[in-house]
Amino acid sequence: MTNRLEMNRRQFVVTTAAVGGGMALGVRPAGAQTAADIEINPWVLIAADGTVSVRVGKTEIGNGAVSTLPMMVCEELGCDWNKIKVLAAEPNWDMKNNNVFAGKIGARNFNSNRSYQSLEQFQQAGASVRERLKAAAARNWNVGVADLTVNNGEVIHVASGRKAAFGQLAAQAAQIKLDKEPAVKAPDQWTFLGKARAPRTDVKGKVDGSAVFGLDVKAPNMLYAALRQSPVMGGKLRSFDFNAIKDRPGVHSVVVVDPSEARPKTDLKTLYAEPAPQSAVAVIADSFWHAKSALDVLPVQWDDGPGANTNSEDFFKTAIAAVNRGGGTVNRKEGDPLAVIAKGGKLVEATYQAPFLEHALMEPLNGTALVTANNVEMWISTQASQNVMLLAAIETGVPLNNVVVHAANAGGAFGRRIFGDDARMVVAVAKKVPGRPVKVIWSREETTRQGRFNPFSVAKLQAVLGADGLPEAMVIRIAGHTPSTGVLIDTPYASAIPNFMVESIPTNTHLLTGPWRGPGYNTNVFFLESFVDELAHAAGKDPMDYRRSLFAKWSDPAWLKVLNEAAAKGEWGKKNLPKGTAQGFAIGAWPNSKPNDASIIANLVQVTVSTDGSVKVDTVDIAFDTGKVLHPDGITAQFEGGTIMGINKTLNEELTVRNGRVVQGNFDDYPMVRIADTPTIKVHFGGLTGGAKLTEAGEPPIAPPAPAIANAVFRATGKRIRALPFRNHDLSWS
Amino acid sequence: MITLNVNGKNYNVDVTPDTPLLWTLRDNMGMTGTKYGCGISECGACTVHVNGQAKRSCVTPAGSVVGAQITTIEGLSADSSHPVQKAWIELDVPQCGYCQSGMIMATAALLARKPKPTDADIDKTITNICRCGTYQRIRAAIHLAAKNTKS
Repeated sequence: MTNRLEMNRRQFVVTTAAVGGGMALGVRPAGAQTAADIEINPWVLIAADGTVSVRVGKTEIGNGAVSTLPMMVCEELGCDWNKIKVLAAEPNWDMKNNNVFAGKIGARNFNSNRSYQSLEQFQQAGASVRERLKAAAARNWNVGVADLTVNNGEVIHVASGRKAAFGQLAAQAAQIKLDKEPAVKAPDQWTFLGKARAPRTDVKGKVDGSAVFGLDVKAPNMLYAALRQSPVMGGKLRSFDFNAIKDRPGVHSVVVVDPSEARPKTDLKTLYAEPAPQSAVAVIADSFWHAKSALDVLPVQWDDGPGANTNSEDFFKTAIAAVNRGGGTVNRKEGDPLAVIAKGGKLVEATYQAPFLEHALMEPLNGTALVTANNVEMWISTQASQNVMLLAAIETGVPLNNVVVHAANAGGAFGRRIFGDDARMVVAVAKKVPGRPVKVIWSREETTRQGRFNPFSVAKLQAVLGADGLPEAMVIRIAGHTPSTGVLIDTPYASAIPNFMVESIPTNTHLLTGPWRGPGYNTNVFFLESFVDELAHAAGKDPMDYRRSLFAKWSDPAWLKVLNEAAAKGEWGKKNLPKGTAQGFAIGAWPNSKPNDASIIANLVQVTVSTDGSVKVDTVDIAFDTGKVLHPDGITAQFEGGTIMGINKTLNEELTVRNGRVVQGNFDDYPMVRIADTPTIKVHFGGLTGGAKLTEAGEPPIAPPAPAIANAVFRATGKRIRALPFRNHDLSWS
Repeated sequence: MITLNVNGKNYNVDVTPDTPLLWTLRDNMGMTGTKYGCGISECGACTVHVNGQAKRSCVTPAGSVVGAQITTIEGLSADSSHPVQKAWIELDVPQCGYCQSGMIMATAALLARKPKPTDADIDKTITNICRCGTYQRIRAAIHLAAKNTKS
C-alpha cells in the first residue's frame, strides 16, 4: 500500500511529454484532446473555457467506467460536471511516458473495467489539481491557500467572495509543484460520490448514432474480412477452393490463419493465457457483404481433430458419473462428513446441471488492424487494451513500442473481450494483407459458435439434517469443464455445519472457455441456494428463517442485513397470491464469501407459472452490500441489467454440442428475454453496511435470479427444476 | 448503381439491389449508427424508418427501398432534440449502447403511430434485444417521451 502511494505521488508531479492518445479516429466517447487542454497532471487537463478533461484508461463496456472515474476526480476537484470531457488514455502513449498513467504493463487502469479499483488514484489526481489551482489563486491574490475553497469550477476566497474560474488558473497551475500531495477525502466527507446522480458522459453519442464501436471504425483504403474458424474447436483447415469465389464482386483474396505456423520469437507474454489463434480462413473483400457472401459459398474442408464426435449428452453423463463416483480433489474438508452420511439419518441429496453459455454480445466480435513491416495500428472493442497491444506484438514480431491500440466503445463485453483471442485473430488475418487496414468481422453465427464459453457444470449436494433440521454434514461435489469451487468452499453456511466438504472433478471437453459475468459464482449460487431451499423444505422450515439460523454464527453481519432488507422490501410471506404465483429467495456473494471483502446480493422474486407452463418473473426486489456506493444510479442500472441477464440465463440460455460443433448460432435458437418479459425490478439500499469495503457492482446481480426463480417455481408448482435452462422443462399445470 | 433517399438526401450507391440496406448504409454510405446484431431480423439493432415505418434493415434489400424515404438514427434529429432521444438522455437509458439506435428508431416509429402507447403496446411493438438488460428504463423512457411529445 505504502509503495503504491509513494509511486503515485511521484507520478502526480510528472507532466507527460506527449499529448494523449485516442485522437486518430476519435473512437472513444466524449472527444479528442485539443491544443486548448492544458495538462495539469497525467489524469487531468483544464482548458481556458473551464472544460475539465479526465484521462481514462479503462474502456467503456456499458458499466459506466468512463463516468464513474471522472466522478472520483470531481469529488476532490469541485468541478462542474457539465464541463467534464473524457479522454482516452492509450497503452502505447503511456508506455512512451514511462507508464506514468497506469504504472506498469498489466495494470488495472488498462485491463479492467472495475472503476472502484481506481478510487484512490483518481481522487488523488483531483485533489492534486485542486491544490495547484488554489496555490495559483493564492499567489495572484496574495492570500493564504487555507483561505480558499473550490466549488463548481471556481476557486473562491471565502472571506471576500472573490472568485476565479478554473480555466483562468489552469496555465499557472500546470507550472506549480506542491511541497506535498494533499490527503484525499474519506468517504464520510464525500459530497458528490455516493450521493449525486451524475448523468453518464457517454449517453449523447449512444442516442444519436455517433458513438464509435469497434464495428464502426473507418480507416482509409480499408478492406473487410469475413471469418470462419474450424467449426470443431481445435480442428485444422484441410483445404479450400479460392477459384470458386475469385470472380465474385469485390473479392480480394482468401487468407489462411494457421496456428502451427512459425511466429517470431519473443519474450513478451500475454496477460492471460491464450494460445495461438484457432485455424481459420477469411475472405477479404471491398465490403463486408461481399466478403460474407463469398465466404458462404467458399468450399472449405476441415480436419475436425480430437473434438469430433463429441456431444453434450455425453459431457453431462461423464460429469454426472464423476459426481456420483467422487474421489476428486478435496478443496475443503471440516470434520468427517462422509462418515456422518454413511451413518445414515435424514439424508437429502440433489444433482444440478448447468450448460455451456455464450456471452451473446450485441456487437459481434470484430477488430480492425493495419500491419506493416514495423508497425501495427489497431482499433478494437476490448476490456484489456494493454493486453491487445501485447498480443499484436507477439503475433507479428513488431516491437511493442510500435504497436498502437485504440480501444473503441464495446457493444457488450461481460468477460468476452478480456482474453483477446479476437484481437489476436484480427492481427493474424490483417498481417496477411500488409499495408492495408483490414476490418475482420465475425458473423453472429461465428461469434456464437466460436465463443469462450461459460463452462458447463454438474453439482451433487448431499446433507444430513440433525434433530433441529439444520445440516450436521454437507458434501458438495462439482464436475464439468474446469469446474470452479468459487463461493462454495467459503460459503457462510459452512460456519453452521460441523462436517463440511467440497470436492471437484474436472471432466474437460475440447471447447474453449473464458470469463463470463461472475465466473463460477454465476452458476454455483444456483446449486447452493437451490439446495438450501430444498433443505429448508425437508426440515419443514421457512426458507428465510432457515437461512437466518445458518447465518447466525457467521462473523460478517452483512448477510443477515441484506437478507432482512430483501425480505422486508419484497414482503416475504405475502399472503393470498393466486395459484401458480409464488415468491422465492436467494443470496450470494461475489467474488468470494470472505467477511468484509465481497459484494453480497439477494433477490426476492415473485414468479407466475401459467397453466401452459410458461414462467414469468413479475417482480424482483434486490438488496445488497457493497460497503459503500460510488454512484447510486450507476449501481441501480447495473443491477437492473444484470438481473435481466440472470433471468435470461435461467430461463433460456443453453449451448449444445453435436459432433463436436456448437449447434446454436443466432438469437432464434439462443433466445433472449425482451421488454415484454421484463419484471418490475427494485433496487433497495438498506442492506448497505457502510463499512470499510468498497466492492463490485457489475458481476453480483448475475447469480441470484436462477435459484430465486427455481425456489419460487417450486413453491408455485411443487416442481423442483435442477437443470438449467427452465425452457427445457414442462411446467404446465391444471 | 441505385439511388437511395436517406435522411432527406439522394445518394447514388454502387451496390447490387439484393445487398441488405444495413450494409449499404454502413459500408457504402458510412452511416454506422445503424447496427449489425444478428442479420436475421431477430434483434432489431438495425432498425430504420422506411416511409415512417420501423423496418429491420438487415433483411431489407437496398433495391426494395429505392424511391422510399429512409431515416436512420443520424437523421432522426439534427441535435438529439427528438423527444425519444431527450427521454433516453434524461433517464440515462444506455449501458453499452449498441442496441439503442434500434430501440430509439423503433420507439420513434411507435410514437408517431400511437402517441400514448400502453404497456401492452410497448410489449407488442418493441421486440428489440438488449443484452445489457436496459428494458425497464426503456419502458420508462418511452412513457416519458410520450408525455413530452406535443400532440
